[in-house]
Amino acid sequence: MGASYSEASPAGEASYRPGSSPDFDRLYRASYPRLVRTLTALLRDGAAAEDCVQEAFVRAFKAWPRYRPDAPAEAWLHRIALNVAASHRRYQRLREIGEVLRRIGRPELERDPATVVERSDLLDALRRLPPRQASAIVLRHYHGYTNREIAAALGVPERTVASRLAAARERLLQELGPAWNPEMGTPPGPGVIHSA
Amino acid sequence: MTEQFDAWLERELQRQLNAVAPRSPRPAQAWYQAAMPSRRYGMLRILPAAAAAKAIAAVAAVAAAGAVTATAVTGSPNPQVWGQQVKAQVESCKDALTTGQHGIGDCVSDFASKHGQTQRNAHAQSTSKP
Repeated sequence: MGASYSEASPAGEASYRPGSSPDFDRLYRASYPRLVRTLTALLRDGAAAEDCVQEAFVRAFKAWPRYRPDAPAEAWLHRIALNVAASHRRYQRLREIGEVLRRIGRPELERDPATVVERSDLLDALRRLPPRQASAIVLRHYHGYTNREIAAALGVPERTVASRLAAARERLLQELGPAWNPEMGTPPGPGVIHSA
Repeated sequence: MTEQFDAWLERELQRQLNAVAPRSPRPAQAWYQAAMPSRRYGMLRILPAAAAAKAIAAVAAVAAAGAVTATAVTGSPNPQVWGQQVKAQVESCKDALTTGQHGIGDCVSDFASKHGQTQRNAHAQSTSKP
Protein backbone atom coordinates (compact mmCIF):
# COMPACT_ATOMS: atom_id res chain seq x y z
CA MET A 1 0.00 0.00 0.00
CA GLY A 2 1.63 3.26 -1.05
CA ALA A 3 1.06 6.88 -0.15
CA SER A 4 -2.32 8.19 -1.07
CA TYR A 5 -2.74 10.77 -3.81
CA SER A 6 -4.36 14.04 -2.80
CA GLU A 7 -6.56 15.06 -5.63
CA ALA A 8 -7.30 18.56 -6.76
CA SER A 9 -9.30 17.24 -9.67
CA PRO A 10 -12.70 18.49 -10.72
CA ALA A 11 -14.18 15.72 -8.55
CA GLY A 12 -13.02 17.69 -5.51
CA GLU A 13 -10.47 17.17 -2.80
CA ALA A 14 -10.10 13.52 -1.88
CA SER A 15 -7.46 10.97 -1.07
CA TYR A 16 -7.79 7.25 -1.58
CA ARG A 17 -5.78 4.37 -0.15
CA PRO A 18 -5.27 1.58 -2.68
CA GLY A 19 -6.87 -1.65 -1.48
CA SER A 20 -9.18 0.06 1.03
CA SER A 21 -12.79 -1.02 0.47
CA PRO A 22 -14.37 2.01 2.23
CA ASP A 23 -12.20 4.29 0.08
CA PHE A 24 -13.29 2.42 -3.03
CA ASP A 25 -16.94 2.93 -2.02
CA ARG A 26 -16.20 6.64 -1.58
CA LEU A 27 -14.50 6.79 -4.96
CA TYR A 28 -17.51 5.04 -6.49
CA ARG A 29 -19.94 7.57 -4.99
CA ALA A 30 -17.80 10.53 -6.13
CA SER A 31 -17.04 9.31 -9.64
CA TYR A 32 -20.00 7.23 -10.77
CA PRO A 33 -22.22 10.03 -12.14
CA ARG A 34 -19.27 11.74 -13.85
CA LEU A 35 -18.17 8.52 -15.55
CA VAL A 36 -21.73 7.80 -16.67
CA ARG A 37 -21.93 11.25 -18.27
CA THR A 38 -18.62 10.75 -20.07
CA LEU A 39 -19.76 7.43 -21.54
CA THR A 40 -23.21 8.78 -22.32
CA ALA A 41 -21.54 11.43 -24.49
CA LEU A 42 -19.59 8.74 -26.32
CA LEU A 43 -22.25 6.02 -26.59
CA ARG A 44 -25.46 8.14 -26.78
CA ASP A 45 -27.25 5.47 -24.76
CA GLY A 46 -27.77 6.08 -21.05
CA ALA A 47 -28.44 2.45 -20.09
CA ALA A 48 -25.41 1.16 -22.00
CA ALA A 49 -23.27 3.89 -20.39
CA GLU A 50 -24.37 2.80 -16.91
CA ASP A 51 -23.70 -0.86 -17.69
CA CYS A 52 -20.22 -0.03 -18.98
CA VAL A 53 -19.47 2.07 -15.90
CA GLN A 54 -20.62 -0.74 -13.61
CA GLU A 55 -18.41 -3.19 -15.48
CA ALA A 56 -15.53 -0.70 -15.26
CA PHE A 57 -15.94 -0.56 -11.47
CA VAL A 58 -15.83 -4.37 -11.29
CA ARG A 59 -12.52 -4.32 -13.19
CA ALA A 60 -11.24 -1.40 -11.12
CA PHE A 61 -12.15 -3.13 -7.87
CA LYS A 62 -10.13 -6.19 -8.85
CA ALA A 63 -7.15 -3.96 -9.65
CA TRP A 64 -7.67 -1.65 -6.64
CA PRO A 65 -4.96 -3.21 -4.40
CA ARG A 66 -2.47 -2.64 -7.24
CA TYR A 67 -3.61 0.94 -8.03
CA ARG A 68 -0.63 3.32 -7.92
CA PRO A 69 -1.76 6.66 -6.54
CA ASP A 70 0.50 8.75 -8.78
CA ALA A 71 -2.42 10.15 -10.76
CA PRO A 72 -5.99 11.13 -9.85
CA ALA A 73 -8.05 8.03 -9.10
CA GLU A 74 -10.83 9.31 -11.31
CA ALA A 75 -8.45 9.60 -14.27
CA TRP A 76 -7.47 5.97 -13.68
CA LEU A 77 -11.16 5.01 -13.60
CA HIS A 78 -11.79 6.94 -16.79
CA ARG A 79 -9.09 4.94 -18.52
CA ILE A 80 -10.75 1.66 -17.51
CA ALA A 81 -14.24 2.92 -18.37
CA LEU A 82 -13.14 4.17 -21.80
CA ASN A 83 -11.65 0.75 -22.56
CA VAL A 84 -14.93 -0.92 -21.54
CA ALA A 85 -16.86 1.55 -23.73
CA ALA A 86 -14.57 0.83 -26.69
CA SER A 87 -15.22 -2.93 -26.28
CA HIS A 88 -18.94 -2.20 -26.00
CA ARG A 89 -18.90 -0.20 -29.24
CA ARG A 90 -17.12 -3.02 -31.07
CA TYR A 91 -19.57 -5.59 -29.62
CA GLN A 92 -22.50 -3.32 -30.49
CA ARG A 93 -21.31 -2.95 -34.08
CA LEU A 94 -21.12 -6.72 -34.45
CA ARG A 95 -24.60 -7.05 -32.96
CA GLU A 96 -25.93 -4.40 -35.33
CA ILE A 97 -24.43 -6.13 -38.36
CA GLY A 98 -25.95 -9.44 -37.25
CA GLU A 99 -29.25 -7.70 -36.60
CA VAL A 100 -29.29 -6.09 -40.05
CA LEU A 101 -28.67 -9.47 -41.64
CA ARG A 102 -31.44 -11.08 -39.58
CA ARG A 103 -33.93 -8.25 -40.12
CA ILE A 104 -33.60 -7.76 -43.85
CA GLY A 105 -37.09 -7.18 -45.18
CA ARG A 106 -38.71 -6.80 -41.74
CA PRO A 107 -39.89 -3.49 -40.17
CA GLU A 108 -37.42 -1.84 -37.80
CA LEU A 109 -38.09 -2.16 -34.05
CA GLU A 110 -38.43 1.07 -32.09
CA ARG A 111 -35.83 1.75 -29.37
CA ASP A 112 -36.93 2.38 -25.81
CA PRO A 113 -37.10 6.21 -25.65
CA ALA A 114 -36.16 6.19 -21.95
CA THR A 115 -32.71 4.86 -22.74
CA VAL A 116 -31.88 7.16 -25.62
CA VAL A 117 -30.33 10.50 -24.83
CA GLU A 118 -32.00 13.64 -26.22
CA ARG A 119 -31.01 14.27 -29.82
CA SER A 120 -28.27 16.84 -30.17
CA ASP A 121 -26.12 17.96 -33.10
CA LEU A 122 -23.14 18.34 -30.81
CA LEU A 123 -23.43 14.85 -29.28
CA ASP A 124 -24.07 13.36 -32.71
CA ALA A 125 -20.93 15.04 -34.05
CA LEU A 126 -19.00 13.91 -30.98
CA ARG A 127 -20.04 10.33 -31.56
CA ARG A 128 -18.82 10.47 -35.15
CA LEU A 129 -15.33 11.43 -33.98
CA PRO A 130 -12.73 8.70 -33.47
CA PRO A 131 -13.30 7.52 -29.85
CA ARG A 132 -9.87 8.73 -28.70
CA GLN A 133 -10.55 12.25 -29.93
CA ALA A 134 -14.06 12.28 -28.47
CA SER A 135 -12.73 11.10 -25.08
CA ALA A 136 -10.17 13.89 -25.04
CA ILE A 137 -12.85 16.50 -25.82
CA VAL A 138 -15.17 15.28 -23.03
CA LEU A 139 -12.39 15.05 -20.45
CA ARG A 140 -11.08 18.52 -21.35
CA HIS A 141 -14.23 20.50 -22.02
CA TYR A 142 -16.76 18.76 -19.78
CA HIS A 143 -14.70 17.55 -16.82
CA GLY A 144 -12.14 20.35 -17.02
CA TYR A 145 -9.13 18.00 -16.84
CA THR A 146 -5.73 19.42 -17.70
CA ASN A 147 -3.82 17.90 -20.63
CA ARG A 148 -1.59 16.22 -18.07
CA GLU A 149 -4.54 14.56 -16.35
CA ILE A 150 -5.97 13.48 -19.71
CA ALA A 151 -2.58 12.01 -20.59
CA ALA A 152 -2.71 10.01 -17.34
CA ALA A 153 -6.27 8.91 -18.02
CA LEU A 154 -5.62 7.79 -21.57
CA GLY A 155 -2.07 6.52 -21.03
CA VAL A 156 -0.52 8.69 -23.75
CA PRO A 157 2.03 11.56 -23.79
CA GLU A 158 0.75 15.10 -23.23
CA ARG A 159 1.67 16.17 -26.76
CA THR A 160 -0.55 13.39 -28.12
CA VAL A 161 -3.42 14.79 -26.07
CA ALA A 162 -2.79 18.26 -27.50
CA SER A 163 -2.79 16.99 -31.07
CA ARG A 164 -5.94 14.89 -30.50
CA LEU A 165 -7.73 17.92 -29.05
CA ALA A 166 -6.69 20.11 -31.99
CA ALA A 167 -7.81 17.50 -34.53
CA ALA A 168 -11.10 16.93 -32.71
CA ARG A 169 -11.81 20.66 -32.49
CA GLU A 170 -11.10 21.07 -36.20
CA ARG A 171 -13.42 18.22 -37.12
CA LEU A 172 -16.22 19.39 -34.82
CA LEU A 173 -16.04 22.85 -36.38
CA GLN A 174 -16.39 21.30 -39.83
CA GLU A 175 -19.24 18.99 -38.79
CA LEU A 176 -21.24 21.64 -36.96
CA GLY A 177 -20.70 24.37 -39.55
CA PRO A 178 -21.68 27.91 -38.63
CA ALA A 179 -24.67 26.64 -36.62
CA TRP A 180 -22.62 26.38 -33.42
CA ASN A 181 -22.35 30.14 -33.14
CA PRO A 182 -25.67 32.06 -32.98
CA GLU A 183 -23.82 35.34 -33.54
CA MET A 184 -22.71 34.12 -36.95
CA GLY A 185 -26.30 33.37 -37.92
CA THR A 186 -27.83 30.00 -38.65
CA PRO A 187 -28.38 28.80 -42.21
CA PRO A 188 -31.92 29.45 -43.48
CA GLY A 189 -34.35 26.58 -42.94
CA PRO A 190 -36.33 24.88 -45.72
CA GLY A 191 -39.21 26.82 -47.18
CA VAL A 192 -37.74 30.26 -46.59
CA ILE A 193 -37.95 32.44 -49.69
CA HIS A 194 -35.29 35.07 -50.17
CA SER A 195 -35.71 38.10 -52.35
CA ALA A 196 -33.04 38.63 -54.99
CA MET B 1 -12.58 31.99 -32.90
CA THR B 2 -10.98 28.97 -31.15
CA GLU B 3 -11.56 30.46 -27.70
CA GLN B 4 -15.12 31.31 -28.62
CA PHE B 5 -15.72 27.76 -29.85
CA ASP B 6 -14.13 26.24 -26.74
CA ALA B 7 -16.34 28.36 -24.50
CA TRP B 8 -19.44 27.34 -26.45
CA LEU B 9 -18.35 23.69 -26.35
CA GLU B 10 -17.94 23.79 -22.57
CA ARG B 11 -21.30 25.50 -22.08
CA GLU B 12 -23.13 23.03 -24.33
CA LEU B 13 -21.50 19.93 -22.85
CA GLN B 14 -22.32 21.15 -19.33
CA ARG B 15 -25.92 21.85 -20.31
CA GLN B 16 -26.53 18.60 -22.16
CA LEU B 17 -24.57 16.14 -20.02
CA ASN B 18 -25.63 17.58 -16.67
CA ALA B 19 -29.17 16.71 -17.70
CA VAL B 20 -28.16 13.02 -17.70
CA ALA B 21 -29.33 11.56 -14.37
CA PRO B 22 -27.79 8.17 -13.57
CA ARG B 23 -30.18 5.73 -11.89
CA SER B 24 -28.43 5.36 -8.54
CA PRO B 25 -24.85 5.56 -7.41
CA ARG B 26 -25.35 3.64 -4.11
CA PRO B 27 -22.37 1.32 -3.52
CA ALA B 28 -24.67 -1.40 -2.14
CA GLN B 29 -26.21 -1.77 -5.59
CA ALA B 30 -22.92 -1.74 -7.49
CA TRP B 31 -21.89 -4.83 -9.38
CA TYR B 32 -18.46 -4.85 -7.76
CA GLN B 33 -20.11 -5.71 -4.43
CA ALA B 34 -20.82 -9.16 -5.83
CA ALA B 35 -17.16 -9.61 -6.69
CA MET B 36 -16.12 -8.57 -3.18
CA PRO B 37 -15.27 -11.30 -0.69
CA SER B 38 -17.04 -10.79 2.65
CA ARG B 39 -15.71 -7.82 4.57
CA ARG B 40 -16.09 -9.49 7.96
CA TYR B 41 -12.47 -10.71 7.99
CA GLY B 42 -11.35 -7.06 7.85
CA MET B 43 -12.70 -6.61 11.41
CA LEU B 44 -9.64 -8.44 12.72
CA ARG B 45 -7.46 -5.42 11.94
CA ILE B 46 -9.29 -3.17 14.41
CA LEU B 47 -9.54 -5.67 17.28
CA PRO B 48 -7.19 -5.29 20.28
CA ALA B 49 -4.46 -7.92 20.50
CA ALA B 50 -6.02 -9.63 23.53
CA ALA B 51 -9.21 -10.32 21.63
CA ALA B 52 -7.42 -11.46 18.51
CA ALA B 53 -6.98 -15.11 19.53
CA LYS B 54 -10.69 -15.51 20.36
CA ALA B 55 -11.63 -13.65 17.22
CA ILE B 56 -9.41 -15.86 15.07
CA ALA B 57 -11.10 -18.96 16.48
CA ALA B 58 -14.55 -17.44 15.91
CA VAL B 59 -13.67 -16.29 12.39
CA ALA B 60 -12.33 -19.74 11.58
CA ALA B 61 -15.71 -21.20 12.51
CA VAL B 62 -17.52 -18.49 10.54
CA ALA B 63 -15.26 -19.02 7.54
CA ALA B 64 -15.80 -22.76 7.61
CA ALA B 65 -19.58 -22.36 7.70
CA GLY B 66 -19.52 -19.54 5.15
CA ALA B 67 -17.30 -21.49 2.81
CA VAL B 68 -19.67 -24.44 2.90
CA THR B 69 -22.59 -22.19 1.88
CA ALA B 70 -20.57 -20.30 -0.72
CA THR B 71 -19.34 -23.58 -2.10
CA ALA B 72 -22.90 -24.76 -2.33
CA VAL B 73 -23.87 -21.63 -4.25
CA THR B 74 -20.86 -21.14 -6.49
CA GLY B 75 -19.39 -24.60 -6.57
CA SER B 76 -16.10 -23.30 -5.18
CA PRO B 77 -14.88 -21.96 -1.83
CA ASN B 78 -12.49 -19.57 -3.58
CA PRO B 79 -13.70 -15.90 -3.48
CA GLN B 80 -12.03 -15.35 -6.87
CA VAL B 81 -14.54 -17.75 -8.31
CA TRP B 82 -17.34 -15.41 -7.19
CA GLY B 83 -15.69 -12.69 -9.25
CA GLN B 84 -15.55 -15.01 -12.24
CA GLN B 85 -19.22 -15.79 -11.69
CA VAL B 86 -20.06 -12.09 -11.86
CA LYS B 87 -18.19 -11.87 -15.15
CA ALA B 88 -20.05 -14.89 -16.46
CA GLN B 89 -23.34 -13.41 -15.23
CA VAL B 90 -22.65 -10.12 -17.09
CA GLU B 91 -22.04 -12.10 -20.28
CA SER B 92 -25.16 -14.20 -19.81
CA CYS B 93 -27.26 -11.06 -19.11
CA LYS B 94 -25.89 -9.50 -22.32
CA ASP B 95 -26.76 -12.61 -24.29
CA ALA B 96 -30.26 -12.63 -22.78
CA LEU B 97 -30.97 -9.11 -24.09
CA THR B 98 -33.65 -9.18 -26.72
CA THR B 99 -33.58 -7.00 -29.81
CA GLY B 100 -34.21 -3.35 -29.00
CA GLN B 101 -33.73 -3.96 -25.27
CA HIS B 102 -30.98 -1.99 -23.52
CA GLY B 103 -29.20 -2.28 -20.19
CA ILE B 104 -28.33 -5.30 -18.11
CA GLY B 105 -28.31 -3.45 -14.77
CA ASP B 106 -31.40 -5.12 -13.34
CA CYS B 107 -30.29 -8.60 -14.41
CA VAL B 108 -26.85 -8.27 -12.78
CA SER B 109 -28.21 -6.43 -9.71
CA ASP B 110 -30.59 -9.32 -9.13
CA PHE B 111 -27.67 -11.75 -9.16
CA ALA B 112 -25.66 -9.48 -6.83
CA SER B 113 -28.56 -9.17 -4.37
CA LYS B 114 -29.02 -12.95 -4.25
CA HIS B 115 -25.32 -13.40 -3.63
CA GLY B 116 -25.41 -10.77 -0.84
CA GLN B 117 -28.41 -12.46 0.76
CA THR B 118 -26.65 -15.83 0.66
CA GLN B 119 -23.62 -14.28 2.35
CA ARG B 120 -25.78 -12.70 5.06
CA ASN B 121 -27.64 -15.96 5.67
CA ALA B 122 -24.39 -17.86 5.92
CA HIS B 123 -23.06 -15.29 8.38
CA ALA B 124 -26.23 -15.36 10.50
CA GLN B 125 -26.23 -19.18 10.51
CA SER B 126 -22.61 -19.45 11.59
CA THR B 127 -22.76 -16.77 14.30
CA SER B 128 -25.89 -18.27 15.87
CA LYS B 129 -23.91 -21.43 16.72
CA PRO B 130 -22.44 -21.56 20.29
